[in-house]
Amino acid sequence: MEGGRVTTEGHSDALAPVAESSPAPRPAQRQPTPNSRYNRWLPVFPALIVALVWEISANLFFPQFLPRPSRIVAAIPEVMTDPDFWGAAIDTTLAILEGIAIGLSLGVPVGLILGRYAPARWFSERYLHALNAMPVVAIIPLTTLWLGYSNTMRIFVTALSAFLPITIQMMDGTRKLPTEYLDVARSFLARDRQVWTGVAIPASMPFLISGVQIATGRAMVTGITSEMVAAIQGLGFWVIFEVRSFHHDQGFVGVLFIAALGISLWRTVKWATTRFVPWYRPSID
Amino acid sequence: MTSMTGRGERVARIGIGLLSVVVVAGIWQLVGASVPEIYFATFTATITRAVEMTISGEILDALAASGFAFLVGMVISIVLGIPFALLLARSDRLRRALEGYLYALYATPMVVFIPFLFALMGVGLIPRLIVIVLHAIFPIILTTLEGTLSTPHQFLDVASAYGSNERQTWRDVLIPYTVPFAMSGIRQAVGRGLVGTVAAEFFLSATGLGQLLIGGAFRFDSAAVLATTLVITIVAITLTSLVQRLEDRFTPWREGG
Repeated sequence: MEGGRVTTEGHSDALAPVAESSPAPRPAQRQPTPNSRYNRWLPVFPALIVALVWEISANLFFPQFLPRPSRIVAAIPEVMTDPDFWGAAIDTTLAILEGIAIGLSLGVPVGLILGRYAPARWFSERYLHALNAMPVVAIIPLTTLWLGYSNTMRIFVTALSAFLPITIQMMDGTRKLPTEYLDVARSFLARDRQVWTGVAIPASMPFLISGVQIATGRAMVTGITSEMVAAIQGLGFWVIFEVRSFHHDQGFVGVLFIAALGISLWRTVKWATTRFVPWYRPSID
Repeated sequence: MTSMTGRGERVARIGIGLLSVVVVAGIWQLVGASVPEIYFATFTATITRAVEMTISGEILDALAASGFAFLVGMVISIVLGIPFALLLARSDRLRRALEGYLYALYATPMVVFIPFLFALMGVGLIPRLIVIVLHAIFPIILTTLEGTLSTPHQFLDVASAYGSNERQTWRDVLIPYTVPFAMSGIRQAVGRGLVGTVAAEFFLSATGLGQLLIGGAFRFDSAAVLATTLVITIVAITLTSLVQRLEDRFTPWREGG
């Protein structure tokens, strides 16, 4: 959010939706704008304007219980010292991380196998694509029938929303392995294991990354929604509970926290990308 | 690859595909038969229930309600999102001021705003449209912005060398270059918009596919829940492949030759 330093280059690969079908963003050719000290403060203005308009219109038009910026800020210390809030925050964060971890540890091997062995792919491809197209929140009601209103249910739906994009991206990445790479490996008499570790896995890394990028966002949404629908201890339920108890300002602090969590997860993935896969470009057709 | 193996592969592929339908439906049937119906209805019970719900009009009503909200939400997101992105691309200052927030909002799970919208507006179309637009608009804005900003400067140089004015530059260079990016944003927006539609209906609606799901789960009618999930999946696949096809159509000139 340090908008002043945001450059076009910095964000050119930010979205990277699906590796094979997103156009390759190129570094923008822009003149560096002079007056950068002034530019650094530009992002402050929208926040100020929004807060002001919100505060005034809320006081004029909206019922007293609805949130407004001054009271949200005043509610921050109260929420930040509330052990219930931290319990909810820890539960949600752990559930989302656990879901992503399960999605990764199942999705990577399954995707690799499906990518390398065509018959397995022909067998399961259509179901994976169908489930991946389906909004995963839609299976929350069904999963409450199976697993009850429980943490297991939350982990299940979170893991599923992470598993699907990771598996599909891995599958596509492994399948689209350029034949020249394999030819080279063959002519150097590489063993099967060496083809895997030396060629197939590194070549599919960019796909894995776009899979993980999609997975984190989806896992977050599904996790929070499942808490809201099934009243599972966590931030989503915490917010809905505060709002229903007419503690809107406290609830909104929860929203800000969830937003911060979403942003940090997303940034972590981006950081890991530049750190561990520096050659990554969103599109490698 | 020779045509012999190509043909053999196609036969194997279709054969295994058909086999998988039989196997999956069979497993579904067996699992459904071996657990109480409140958990997981059999394949045949689900299909029967889907037919019943179609005849009674439940599914069509729900589809119409959800589909209408989804479509209006998508139209609003596109109509507001693309011009806004172009505006940001034109104004360096505005972009610097807002870009950080747009990425932050893009990464925020928008479902958390639902309780507040419910308190403010209750159950209705408007709060649901807000949820859908919140889900769909940010990928459209950000990918379109990215596309416009990443137009190779050679293209712009050529345009200015041949004396293009601002309007011509937009029409012949920037917009054609940006369309595929906007399409990829719209593809993302469709997926997110579906999430928004269903999640909004869980809380902000008395009708629609989301309510069919919630109602079915509440009555322990697993066949109805499975049937509705099946309908949602079919709609989602159709929409996804539709935008994918549109996007592919715009791909040829995206590499810029």
